[in-house]
Amino acid sequence: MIAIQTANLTKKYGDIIAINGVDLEVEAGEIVGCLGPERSGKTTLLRLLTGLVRPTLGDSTVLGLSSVKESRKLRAKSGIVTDTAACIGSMSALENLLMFASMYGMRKEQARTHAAQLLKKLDLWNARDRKVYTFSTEMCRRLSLARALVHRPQIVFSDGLPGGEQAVSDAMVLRTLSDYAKETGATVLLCTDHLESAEEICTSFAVLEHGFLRASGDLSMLTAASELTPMAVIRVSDTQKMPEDFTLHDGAWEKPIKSEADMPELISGLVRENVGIYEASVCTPTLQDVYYAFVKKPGEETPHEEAVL
Amino acid sequence: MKKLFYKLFSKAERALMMKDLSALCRRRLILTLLIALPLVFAVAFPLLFLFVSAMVSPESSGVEQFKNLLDNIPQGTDERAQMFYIFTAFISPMLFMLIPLLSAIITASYTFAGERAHGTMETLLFAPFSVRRFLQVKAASSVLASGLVTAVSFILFFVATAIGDTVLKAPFFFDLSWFVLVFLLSPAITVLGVTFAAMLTVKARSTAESIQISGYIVLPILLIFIGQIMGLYRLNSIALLVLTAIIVGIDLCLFNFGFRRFTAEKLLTRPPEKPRKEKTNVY
Repeated sequence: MIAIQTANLTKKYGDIIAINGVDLEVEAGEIVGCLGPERSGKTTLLRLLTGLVRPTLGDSTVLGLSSVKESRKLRAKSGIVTDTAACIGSMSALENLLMFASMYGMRKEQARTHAAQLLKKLDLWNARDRKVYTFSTEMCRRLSLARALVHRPQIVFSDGLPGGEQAVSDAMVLRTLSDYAKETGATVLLCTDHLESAEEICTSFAVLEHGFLRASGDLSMLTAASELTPMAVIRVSDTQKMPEDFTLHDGAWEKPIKSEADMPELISGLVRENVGIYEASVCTPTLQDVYYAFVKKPGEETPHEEAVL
Repeated sequence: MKKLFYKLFSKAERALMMKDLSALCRRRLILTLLIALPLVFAVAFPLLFLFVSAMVSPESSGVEQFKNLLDNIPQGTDERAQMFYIFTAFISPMLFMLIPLLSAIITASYTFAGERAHGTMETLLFAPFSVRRFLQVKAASSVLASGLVTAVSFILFFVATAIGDTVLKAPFFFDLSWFVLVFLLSPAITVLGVTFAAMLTVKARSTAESIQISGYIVLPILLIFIGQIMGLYRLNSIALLVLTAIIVGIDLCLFNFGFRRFTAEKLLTRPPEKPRKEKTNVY
């Protein structure tokens, strides 16, 4: 079943095109990492999908519901967390969760149970009766996630998580999201520029830049689309001569290969040529390698590519 | 009443209203303002005027001049009673109308602009409400809060003025005009104040700014009553009923159609910062 589907989704703000003709499909149950640098359109995409913003062109459906015409029903099934949406400061953490659960039509006892589970999981149980305005930024982030999950949504939209400066808190957030998705089969759209976090839990990815969808799919599909290949990395003695198709990089010799199945023959060939091998390994492209195959690295000169219709 | 309330608002909507009402009570400044309004306009002013009326000299030319402006002053009562009657019949209605209007502006400004300033507007827009219904429910919360303040104010005003009428042997103030004022015009003005303040939310970046902008609606209401004080006309019960009907018509338009032009996008977009005036040194 398709959880998210967009067709030529476009959003213009005056002359600026925030999202440009995005065609995206996400299967139910997937954890999709929506990656992109700042101003790539991740937040706009999230707001279009949840019906908070109307598209200029195209449309989108989430869980079979139109984001524009059925946004109220859609939001009833969604949990949304962004770094700009705060919890109610004058209420305690527990009060916040119970109130939002009630807004989604949950019964009191059920709401209490879920709220307690989430607060414990996110290490907020001891602070459950404290007013939210006394919370640190990290605690507020975790509470926002709890708020988005308390009513057991079928789809979770997350923008800006993780994004804190504390690795422990980020790990907790990721683990909670991942566990929730596994337990309930919910679909998660995680908009982030933290590639390591995305690689940890996401099953597929969508790469945005300047409002364009550069690539989408799982890591193997993205790797194939990026035309990056695995590298054979061979460490030999400093005086060893290597064949011409190897290049020296960071003290080791590298050669692109089609797959790790090529390694035995490659190593045999080197041994036949009397190359003394200290270490041989296969280096597969990471998400970061693949990401920067589609997106300009920070510091690289980038022409302003936003299309003006 | 409870059944009607449950019929009009779903569980989710009632949760939102309870949150708004409890937020108003937790905010000390707002609560102080809402308590101060009835104390000043419904208690302090009547008692002050009672004191002034009791101290006024019958030979004072000021009293005669005032009486000459107005007709229908009841005969057979002394100057002090007539003075107090002038206050309850001509001046108090204007002061009393400020209570629902100002309390509506204060509560609606906090409920709408305050929500955006605290970053919680977006959070609440994630909930399963249509934008129009969301705004209507929040407006209803403000109307309830303001209605409560007005009701308490009237009780206090009634007691303070009844004491004045008894002490000075003035005619009892509560007549048909006051009935229309309290039970028909006040609720209509409350809704007007709330919807007006809510619609100006998009321009305000804070509660204080919203109160400032919304305060302009006080002027036309004041002008209507100032005409009466100057003796230009008398707002009798018929005139007040007509005024109520006009305001109810405006309320219905604003409440049902005014909120339609709002989208989540507009509510989430912060208005631009005002350019700061640069200080220039004057030599």
